[in-house]
Formats: sequence, structure tokens, C-alpha cells
Amino acid sequence: MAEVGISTPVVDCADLPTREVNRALRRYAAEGAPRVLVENPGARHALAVALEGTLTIRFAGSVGWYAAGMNQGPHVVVDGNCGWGLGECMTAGRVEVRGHAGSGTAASIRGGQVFVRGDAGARAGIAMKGGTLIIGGDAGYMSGFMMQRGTLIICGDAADGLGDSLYEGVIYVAGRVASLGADAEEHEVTEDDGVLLRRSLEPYGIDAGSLAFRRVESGRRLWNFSSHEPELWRSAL
Amino acid sequence: MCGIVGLLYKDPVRRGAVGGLLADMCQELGRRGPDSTGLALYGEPAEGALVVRVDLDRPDHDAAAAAVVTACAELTAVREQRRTGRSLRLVVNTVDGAHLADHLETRVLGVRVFSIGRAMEVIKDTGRAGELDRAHALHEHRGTHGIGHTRMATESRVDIAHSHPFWARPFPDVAVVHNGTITNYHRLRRRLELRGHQFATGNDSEVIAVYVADRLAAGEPLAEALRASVSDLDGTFAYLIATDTAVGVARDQFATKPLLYAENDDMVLLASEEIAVRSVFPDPALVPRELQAKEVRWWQR
Repeated sequence: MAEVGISTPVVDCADLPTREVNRALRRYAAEGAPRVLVENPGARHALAVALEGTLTIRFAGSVGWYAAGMNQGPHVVVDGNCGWGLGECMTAGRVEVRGHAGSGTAASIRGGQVFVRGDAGARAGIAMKGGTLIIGGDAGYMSGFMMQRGTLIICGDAADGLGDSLYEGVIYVAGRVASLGADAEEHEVTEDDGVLLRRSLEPYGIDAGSLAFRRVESGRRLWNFSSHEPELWRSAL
Repeated sequence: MCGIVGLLYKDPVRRGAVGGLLADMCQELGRRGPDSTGLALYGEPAEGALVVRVDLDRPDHDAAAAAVVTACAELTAVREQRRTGRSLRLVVNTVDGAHLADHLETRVLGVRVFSIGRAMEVIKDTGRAGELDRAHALHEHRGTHGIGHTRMATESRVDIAHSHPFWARPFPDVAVVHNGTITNYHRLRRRLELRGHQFATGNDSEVIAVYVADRLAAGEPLAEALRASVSDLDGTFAYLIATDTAVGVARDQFATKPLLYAENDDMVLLASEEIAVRSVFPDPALVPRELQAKEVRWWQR
């Protein structure tokens, strides 16, 4: 968690175009600064993107679309909401949103961890190729769509089409599932799953033991084309 | 890609700077669509009067304006006339609005009526919100609610007439703004035309306005009309519809187009992106929420 001390540098978005904000963040990351506070983000798009290093960036307010995308390493904390495509294509690092997230949260991430305290919109974790997405609240329509690897944890409810056409990777969901997507199957959690959930949620003050998680995985019937199951394919395509 | 915004004060007697706030929000969303900007604003209805907005985007605008006023006077008394931007604003004694619109368009060739309403008027033009604001003094407007749009044209022409909002002709005080594409537009339009409705443009969004207003006119509550639209409209959409007392919103089954709402005890704000909300209300206590797929909502003042 970002602790703001006297020595913490501040970037004020109010005075700067987005490109300059990102240049300043890149400079702090290159200099090895431990943390930076960004004020007045104003839900602006494409903030804190394509950064490397171990810098902790804290946004005092909401960020817009594509925040923290394509990052490799930084820890981004958002004291507010975020728009579509949070952390898209991130390979390593951590993103923590205290409010709600828009659609396509953690789309195509390959590594690292994205945590949303509130709800996430449609297609959360779409095409994930690794890493972890944790949603403290509810997940929107078709979350986990075409996941290829990684872990998606939903502490609340899931809207229609959960895990549609996922290849590999695993979804844990604690609340009500409106409907599963094509070829997604629900299983009971194992002891190992329980350990993973406890460890993953503990840092965010969520007690996994108090939630009734189930595991959703691919039924693997879409892995190979089968002319014997035309209905399944019709629903998937 | 287009940007849509809305604002409604919940207290029926509350008035605010709706025009200026919506213009500022549209300005923020300008990058979602720079082709045109438009607002449907709801103000104080004058006693026994209608507000008429007519398009004057033509070389002979002075002659056309005079001809419209003359044609209008054939049906009803013209109380006020004013040119703002490239449109003509008339305040006339109450008369059958649909009939007046037909009359004006028949008498003055090529002229188009943007809106006729007791409380509502549609103000639109090509270009960005700042230009619309300057040309029409939107910041001077005080009202109860309104909706706005910044357009990126995909399916039809870039001109004033094809810009949003669309008046749900012939229904007074109903207007729509839409972000998306209605793929079963032609079928729906034919069906509504068979029911006697007229379309002013070839813009697919206009069909939403007429579709919902047709249901409202049949006595259906706004909520039901919104719900029905989610399955009857095919394609991608997030749209706002405003009536004289309410604002409603619906989102398509795949949640393809963004739409947020933020409300407190005083008002509700609607926008494609949070950046538009923050540009006018930076207070973090106002938390925007994204509509779910197929979700409809409405607010009454």
C-alpha cells in the first residue's frame, strides 16, 4: 500500500497533458523512486501505461480508460474508479482499484495481479493469458471470455455467460452465477483451491473462508471440432 | 463511437445550468465524436406556448427564416423569433405540434423542423461543443433536465439534420441520443412508417426515438418501453431518452457501448465516460456506476 510521506513526489495532472504525466512517471520509475502521488487525474485516459520498474504510483481520484496498461512491474493504486481496459496486456506488477472498474478489466494480461474492490463491468478478464484478476464485488456480462491461462476470482455475483469459451485458466466465483457460458463447467473447490483463495484474498482483507466459492473451468468440448455436437458449436460461434 | 450525456434534477421545482453543464460534458467527450454536437434542453414551459426549432443550414437562410415565420403565422400567432447559430427559434401560441411541423416543411421547401415542444428544444450543429455553446449561448440556459451528444458519423451524412438529438416526431417533448448502430433499422422503420410515423432523416438513431415514443403514446410506461426496446432493437446501443418529466437509459445485450450513471439526492448524471462527470463534478462522493448488459434505468423529476 502506498504510504505518502513528505518525500513523496507529486505529479499534478491539472497542469499537464497526459503525455507529460506519463513522461514524469517514467522518469521517476527510471530514477528508482519508491513512490509517487498523482493528483487530479480527473478520470483521464491512458495514465501510467507502459512502465517498468518497481515504482508505486498512487492516483488520488478516478482514472479513465486503459490505465496501467502494458506495464511490467509497477504497483498502481487508484483511490477511485477506472474505465475500460484496466491493466490491459500487463505482464508483471500490481494494480489496485478502490472503487469500480469498467468493461474489459485486465484484458489479455500475461502476468501480475489486478484487484478491484468494487464491481467490474462486462468481459472482465477477457482473453487472460496469465496473472490474476480479483474482483471484490460483482463481475459483468461474459467475464472470463476466452481465457487462456491465469486465475479470475469473483467474490460477488457473475452476470450471464461466465467463462464462455475459455480454454484454460480457472475462475473462482462466490456469488450467484446468472448463467455459465459455452463449455464452462462448475466444480466444487478442493483443499488446494481453498489455500490459493485464502492467500490471494488475505492481503485485501477479504476472508475467503466466509465465502462459498466454486471453481469454473473449461469442459474442453470446444478444444477440438466435433460434428457430433453441432448444437454446442452453434451456441459457441 | 459517439459520446452521450444527460442530467436531471430530481426535485421538480429545481432549476440549474443544464445547458452549460451538458455542453461542458460534451466538450470532454468530443474525442469520441468531433462531427457534430447537440443538446435537447428542457426548460420552463411558457403558458399556452410551444418552442419551435428549425434548421437554417442553407445559403438563402434569411429568406428561408422569413418564409418559415410567414408559414407559421398561417396556423398560429408567433410570439417571439430569434436566430441562434444556424437555426431559427420561434415561440408560438399552442397548436397541434405535429401538424405545424408538417405545415412548415410543406410550405418552405427543404426546411426541417428539429423540434416542437412545450418544454423541450433541440439545439444542434456540426462541430465541437465549444462552438455550439458560443453560437447558442448554452451557458445562459437554465432548466430542469436535458440530454446531449457528440457524434462520430458512421451510417449517415455529416450535417445538422443528421446530428443528434432526434425529436421523437410527432410526440412533443420527447428526444433521443444514441451511441451505436441499429442493424435492424430498415425493418423497424418500415414497421413504424406503416403505423403512420414520418422520419426526417436516414439516421438509424432516429428509429429509436420514434419506436419508444410510439409506445409511450400508446400508454406504455417508460420503463416498459425501455425494456421492450432492448430485445426489439438489434445492434449496438447505449441510448438516452428524455420526456418532459423523465430521463431513461438502455444498454444492449452485449454491453458493447459504455454508459455510466452517477446520482445523489439532488440529481442524476449520465455519461459515456467518467471524465465527463469529473469535468463538472469533481466531488469523489458522486460515484459513477456502469450499466450492465440489457439494463434499463429511468429517473423521474
